Amino acid sequence: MSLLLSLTLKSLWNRRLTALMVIASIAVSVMLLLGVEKVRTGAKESFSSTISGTDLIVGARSGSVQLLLYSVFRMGNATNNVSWKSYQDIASNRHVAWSVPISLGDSHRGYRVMGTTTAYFKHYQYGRKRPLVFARGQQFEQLHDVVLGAEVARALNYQMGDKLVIAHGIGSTSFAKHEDQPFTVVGILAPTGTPVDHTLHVSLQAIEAIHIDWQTGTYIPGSGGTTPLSERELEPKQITAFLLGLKSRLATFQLQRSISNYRAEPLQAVLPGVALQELWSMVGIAENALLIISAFVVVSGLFGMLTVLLTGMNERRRELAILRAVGARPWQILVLLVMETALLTLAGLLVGTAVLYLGLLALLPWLEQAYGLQVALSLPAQRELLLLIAVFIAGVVAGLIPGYRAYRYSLADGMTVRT
Amino acid sequence: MIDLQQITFGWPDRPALLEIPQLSIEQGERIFIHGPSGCGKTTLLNLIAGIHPAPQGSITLNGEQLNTLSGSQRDRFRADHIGLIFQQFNLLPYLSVQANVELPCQFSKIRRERAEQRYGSVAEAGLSLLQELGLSGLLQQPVTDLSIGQQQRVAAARALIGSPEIIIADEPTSSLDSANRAAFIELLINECDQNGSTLLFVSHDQSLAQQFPRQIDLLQLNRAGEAV
Repeated sequence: MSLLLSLTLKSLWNRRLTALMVIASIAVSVMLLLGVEKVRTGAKESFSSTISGTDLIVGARSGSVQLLLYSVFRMGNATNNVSWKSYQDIASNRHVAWSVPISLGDSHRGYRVMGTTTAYFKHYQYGRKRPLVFARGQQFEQLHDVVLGAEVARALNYQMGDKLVIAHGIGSTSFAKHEDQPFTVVGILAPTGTPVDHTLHVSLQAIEAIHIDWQTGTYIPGSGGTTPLSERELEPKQITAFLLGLKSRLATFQLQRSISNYRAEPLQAVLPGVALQELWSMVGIAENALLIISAFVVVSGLFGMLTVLLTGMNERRRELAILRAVGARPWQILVLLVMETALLTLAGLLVGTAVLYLGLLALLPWLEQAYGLQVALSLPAQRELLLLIAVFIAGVVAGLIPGYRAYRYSLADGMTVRT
Repeated sequence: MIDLQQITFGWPDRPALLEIPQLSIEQGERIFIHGPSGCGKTTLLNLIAGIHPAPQGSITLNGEQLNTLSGSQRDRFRADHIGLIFQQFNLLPYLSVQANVELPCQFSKIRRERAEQRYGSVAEAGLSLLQELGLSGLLQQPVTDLSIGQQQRVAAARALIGSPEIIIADEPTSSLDSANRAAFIELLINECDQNGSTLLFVSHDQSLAQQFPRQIDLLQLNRAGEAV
């Protein structure tokens, strides 16, 4: 067998240019297949780890996906709000360990502003129960303090102590600005790869304060009275949604049901995990399409190899007849050919995987920055290994075709060297 | 030592290509087989080498009746007992001269043992054969750098290594010029004498016949087509 292996290697080396092209084409297909798989699992992973540690998300009754979208992903708008009274009522339920109210609706240069309490920084978790961490500064304390998500600070180049003005509404070029009440940056969060990075956090009181002189969406100075801010009781009348953490997860369904049946106003509570699943299943079609496409790329790569090998076959008839003449048996010729494709496929697999990992290593920070995509740079997972093994087997099976032809040739040609 | 009896060979549903009532060749004989193209020279060699099984009659080599052997047994027999030289392109382009010569000993245990017995090692056997053929300076050369005459001599060395009983040369000189041709045949005959190998030399070129003690005109030997 070592003789056949050394003959295969030498023969391949003799045709190294074509061999390299075959390896490259397989490597590219494998790279694509593995890359798609990595990005897919990475996307799913980052997606489903957008929020964790929260047991229920509560908002006005609409759809669970919609509630998830606006409360967690800051996409779209709430159709309705939740009254402060209902919030306080539910938050004081005996099963509730903590609650975080959130109030959305304003923006700053295209980034959403979220009003919340300091409980948010304590209880909001993402990924594998990772809490929010301050890269600089701390949580808001004064009325006009703002805490920036990592991406907001980076993209808009804000430093600690910078002043900024919040716009009314959520357009990126809103003309209605709360210019009378500028905010000061007191904290910048570390990157999370979640929508938190794209959010500005202020206190609920701040949201109330900047809306004092606003009547039905229009700024009318003085309309809110002349009491100084410091003497007002800035209690919100309504919020957009709130997050709940329970003392025992066993109570989750019970509380969910009682919130759905809440008398005072129509509310709904969703389990983040379930809603995320639901949302992902809608995206999942694209996910499968990606995988199918990359599988086709692998198939075409293998066909490419097959074409090259079969084309080369006629030129190699002479070589095979010589081997037959010096005593190689037909099965040895078959082994020779199959070994060749096995080696080519293996080389393609290794090169493709290596290049992919190097590429990921280089691109990972950028991917995470730009897309919040967290791709684990771990060894190939079981599924990926199975994919690689499947490609290898496909390569070897593909090698049986030229191998069988060579086997037939070597029987028919005998010792007549066709030229 | 080579004995053919009542051989008929042809492809199914076609008139027979070859019909040989009887042919005997002694061990160590040097035979020149000639005949025009298409008269069945290659078919005869394929039968003797056991590439094609003979459907009728018997072929006996070294007392072993070839047509009773299975395909793989014939393969093994050929690897062990027959050295082949082709018209041209005899060598694997990706092996050195030395590796090309040693190749049969890699596939046949018998030839490897014979080479070791006679020369001490396979490498030594190849070396001395190449030396006798005047190629000792080219051992590590890639075969593509060799002239055709040199290539054919390397092929001869490869056919002879491990002293197979039968050397079959199928038009080995047709791509050589006449001076090289005579020299090559002389070398080949010498080496076969030293090895005690039987030489079957096939060519359509009648002018080479004089170097061989025995000549066979295949056109006369082959009865196929006569009855039709």
